[in-house]
Amino acid sequence: MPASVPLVLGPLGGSAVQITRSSLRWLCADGQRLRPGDPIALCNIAVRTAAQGERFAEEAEDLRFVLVAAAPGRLRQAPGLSRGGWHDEMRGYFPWDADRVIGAFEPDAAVTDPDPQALVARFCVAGRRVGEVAEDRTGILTGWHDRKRAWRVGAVRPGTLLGLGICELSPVLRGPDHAFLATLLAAGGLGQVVDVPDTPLVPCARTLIEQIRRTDAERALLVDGFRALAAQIEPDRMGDWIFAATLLKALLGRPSFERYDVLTATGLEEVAPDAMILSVNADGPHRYRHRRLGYTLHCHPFQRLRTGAAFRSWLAREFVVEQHPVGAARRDYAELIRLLREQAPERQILVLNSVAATDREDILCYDAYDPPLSLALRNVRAREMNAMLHDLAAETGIAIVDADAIAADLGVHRSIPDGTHQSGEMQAVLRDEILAILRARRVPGFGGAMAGA
Amino acid sequence: MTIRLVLPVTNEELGTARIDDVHIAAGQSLAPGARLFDFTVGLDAAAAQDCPPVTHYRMTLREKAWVGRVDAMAGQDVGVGDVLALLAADQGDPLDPEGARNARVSVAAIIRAPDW
Repeated sequence: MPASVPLVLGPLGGSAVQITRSSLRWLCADGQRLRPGDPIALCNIAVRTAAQGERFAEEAEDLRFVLVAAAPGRLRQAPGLSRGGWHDEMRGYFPWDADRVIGAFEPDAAVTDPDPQALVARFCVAGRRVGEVAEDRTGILTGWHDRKRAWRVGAVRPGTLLGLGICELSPVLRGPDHAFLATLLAAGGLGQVVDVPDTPLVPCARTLIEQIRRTDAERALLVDGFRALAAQIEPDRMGDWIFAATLLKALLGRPSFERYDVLTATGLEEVAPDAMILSVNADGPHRYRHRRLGYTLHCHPFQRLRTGAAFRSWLAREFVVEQHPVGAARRDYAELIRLLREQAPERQILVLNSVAATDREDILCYDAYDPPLSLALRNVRAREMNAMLHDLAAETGIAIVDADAIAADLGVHRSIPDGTHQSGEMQAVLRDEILAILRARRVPGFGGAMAGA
Repeated sequence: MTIRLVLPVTNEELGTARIDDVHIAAGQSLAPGARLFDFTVGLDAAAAQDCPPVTHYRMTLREKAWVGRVDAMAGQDVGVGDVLALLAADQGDPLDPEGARNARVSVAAIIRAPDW
């Protein structure tokens, strides 16, 4: 029987910051059998520094420390760590004590790691609320956030993967725990994953370019337009007010070049993405362009169609629907890659391709479809977009995550029957593929050397 | 010979389909490759859900026929196997639903311009 190991909270933040925490909220039962990746406990934390400037801006309310099993075994909980109720929420109650024993871990196998504390992995998670009223602390990283992230706490700063995708990418990165924990644990190193959701703004390449290039004067005009919209929205359509406000916030954002505060075991640092992953499906066959200001507005139809009469008449009046041919998507991607590399030459860029494989299509004659077929037939577009990505990869060195091949291998009808929404099995294979690409490209935190290590 | 046009299986998990466009009318002569119906299968209408899987399809004919009767109209919800139209193999053939066979059709996922 392997010996049990007393586990401690572990060091966090070093001497330059003052960290306080809530009492621990257990996420497993006392003595429960744990597998690697199973969450053990969390606490909310607060960070104070002597230096000027706010750290963890807009994330302070949803900043947490999470303990996760890294080896199979059982944890016998130390008593008194959880007080329950609000005491598990209030992040200013207890000073951080690295040596505080949280319990005894009974591993299934003898411990071979020279650091027995490695039986448990330590993470921080942070969510940037869409608005301050969007509070939801029920889970590890629950709540309405316009950016969610998690990183593994270690001796050096984590390498960072930024995800800017849609519904066939975000859940792959977040993993089955919805908090990136299994993804980061599988990555093996000290990594960080950041996800900017596609709600309300779908991150097509043109939108990302416009976010990067938007001037203050253009922002002011954009705000004026939304102010006019707000004046028109019906008083009983509160959801449309919220939708408009979040849309404006997203348009004014610049997620490609954001930097992130991270706590390590020894300090507080600011990091930028080392890699970025996009989804080619964000570049659909149509998009909305503002008639006067020229900006692109790409929202999911199901959200647009749920808005009321005033919102939709504003859309119809202010925007024109344009076709988005494959050639235009290619030009947008090439421009985006160039812009990203101008500012971050070392950043790896991955793109998830489109699932073109299908089990139910049997076209014998193409006369019934208006040319170009890539704007008429979904699977032709998917194939042409994938071919476009191959050309782009050859020219620019981006990496393709071949969702199409994975879907074909697993069986399209079983794994992704509508071409977009994958099964958990397919998400797991895609996750492994993304991690393999990051490892092969030696992205720090995902198989590459750590900065400062 | 009477030929039945029925809604084919596309994604049976998603239930009924909505007819978007009817490309045929009674009395019309159809050549192989002719457009028949555009329809949408998805969870947007049947059971509203965030990010619903929605796929638009076009059904085309793989044989020659004459349109005898069109039963489905735009906006109508139909199920797999429902009769959408009756065709005749030869011009002037009387329509006999009982003795009809299913039409030889082809179905492909299409791209539709977004609704406002």
